[in-house]
Amino acid sequence: MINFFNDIFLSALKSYRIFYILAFQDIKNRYKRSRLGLFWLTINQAFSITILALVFSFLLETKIKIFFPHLAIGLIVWAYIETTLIELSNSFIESAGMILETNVPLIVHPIRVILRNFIIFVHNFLLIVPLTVLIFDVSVSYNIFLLPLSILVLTLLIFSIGLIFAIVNLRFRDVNNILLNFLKLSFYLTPIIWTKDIIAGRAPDWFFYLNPFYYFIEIIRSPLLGGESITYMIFISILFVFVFGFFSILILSKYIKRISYWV
Amino acid sequence: MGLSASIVLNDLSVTFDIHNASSRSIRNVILNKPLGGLIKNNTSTLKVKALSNLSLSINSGDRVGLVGHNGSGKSTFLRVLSGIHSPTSGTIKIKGRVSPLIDLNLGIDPECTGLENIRIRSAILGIKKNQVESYCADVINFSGLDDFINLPVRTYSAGMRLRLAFATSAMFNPEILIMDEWISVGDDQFRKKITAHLNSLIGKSEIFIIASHSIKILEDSCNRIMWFKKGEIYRDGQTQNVLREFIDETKKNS
Repeated sequence: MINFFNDIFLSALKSYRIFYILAFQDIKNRYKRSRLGLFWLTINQAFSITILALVFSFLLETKIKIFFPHLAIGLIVWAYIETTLIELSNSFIESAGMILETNVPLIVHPIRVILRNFIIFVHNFLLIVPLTVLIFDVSVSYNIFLLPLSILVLTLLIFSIGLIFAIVNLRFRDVNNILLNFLKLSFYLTPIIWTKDIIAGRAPDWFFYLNPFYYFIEIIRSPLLGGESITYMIFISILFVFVFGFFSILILSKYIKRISYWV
Repeated sequence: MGLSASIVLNDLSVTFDIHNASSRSIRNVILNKPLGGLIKNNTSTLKVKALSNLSLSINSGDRVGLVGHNGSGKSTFLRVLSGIHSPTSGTIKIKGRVSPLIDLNLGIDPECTGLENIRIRSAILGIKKNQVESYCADVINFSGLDDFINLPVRTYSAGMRLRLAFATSAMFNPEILIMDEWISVGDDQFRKKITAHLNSLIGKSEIFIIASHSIKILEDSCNRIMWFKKGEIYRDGQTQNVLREFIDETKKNS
């Protein structure tokens, strides 16, 4: 299995130009005929954050000064997780043409998906988050230096989970829809459009600590909002990376030869 | 370039699992037709044996033509040789770089400009970074698209699209060249250009393999014919001998 991992890793390195060029072309194409291009993504994101912030801070009677940054970062990270997982689960199916007609290494297709979503995420993050921090005068904690590590861990997590779905979804096409609904549910179970304080006393602690998405969002949100130490959360997330990474490599090594027959 | 390319198959089989169909009805449909591979029905999933127990070797200098009915295994065979499908059992050893020319339209994205498409294709073909510019120049020159190269492909006429598709896929030096049907597109003039270019590609390649229904093309460009029947190689030999037998049988059946 270690050999297989090396093979995959090497073929990914060797074909970096393919996924690089395809990922950038994907983004370019999506907004080709609009004037603002990629900025539409950020505008859309900022718009829905603002609406949700206004509505929910009114409904939940929280101060917008606290709620807005919480929601903004939570939504950006969640959008990254959700969109990428769903697109990853379709990554082989969508590239069926290329898989059946060229001998491009198969790992290129999921990497193309994660790369384009990573670019979009970073773009949104860099435009919206600093602005939010400035406007709402958030006190950032020194943990902010861990942010690049957190983003790397989050990206690896999404990739390893998504890779499993990419293969399973090839064989059982219903999986994509199950994933879609599962993510919809998780969105409401994770403190994004509500805060931990709001339901304090009404839900037991394990309700948060058993929800992996809580950690995935918190490792990015907490340092920006001056939160408590996130070291243990990063450790838990890294543990998840290893577990899911192991399973994704296992499944990939077992079924990579069937992919061209299943697409 | 030393003559070194070779392909060796040992007891190679390919079986497709058909999951998304009511197996019975599909089986009935296929079994009642004279085409298709051997079909087995194991409990719930339908298995189609597309290639069964092939053992053969193809050596440098071979120009191989594949004949047979639709569904006899030719395209699957080409995909196995191209490294797209892995054999379900048995082994395949390939020495040399394989260049498949199976579907030209692949990778032509209508929203991208001609030039963007050429760059994407250069990455897929694995052209080295310092050769990309000369590759682009070759493609633009061959396609004759001039200024259109900077417009989105969706604005092209069908003929222009084909010019671009062919030029992007065929500007390389092949070791093992694989084609599914002879490519013949565009107006008379461009077709002549393509034929000349393909002939020079074939001349430069060490191994050339083509699946075709055109007897004339096979006679002109091949020195060895494999005749596929239901996933097996029914005849494998010199062009004239195998083709004569193939033509005789086709006439008898029609």
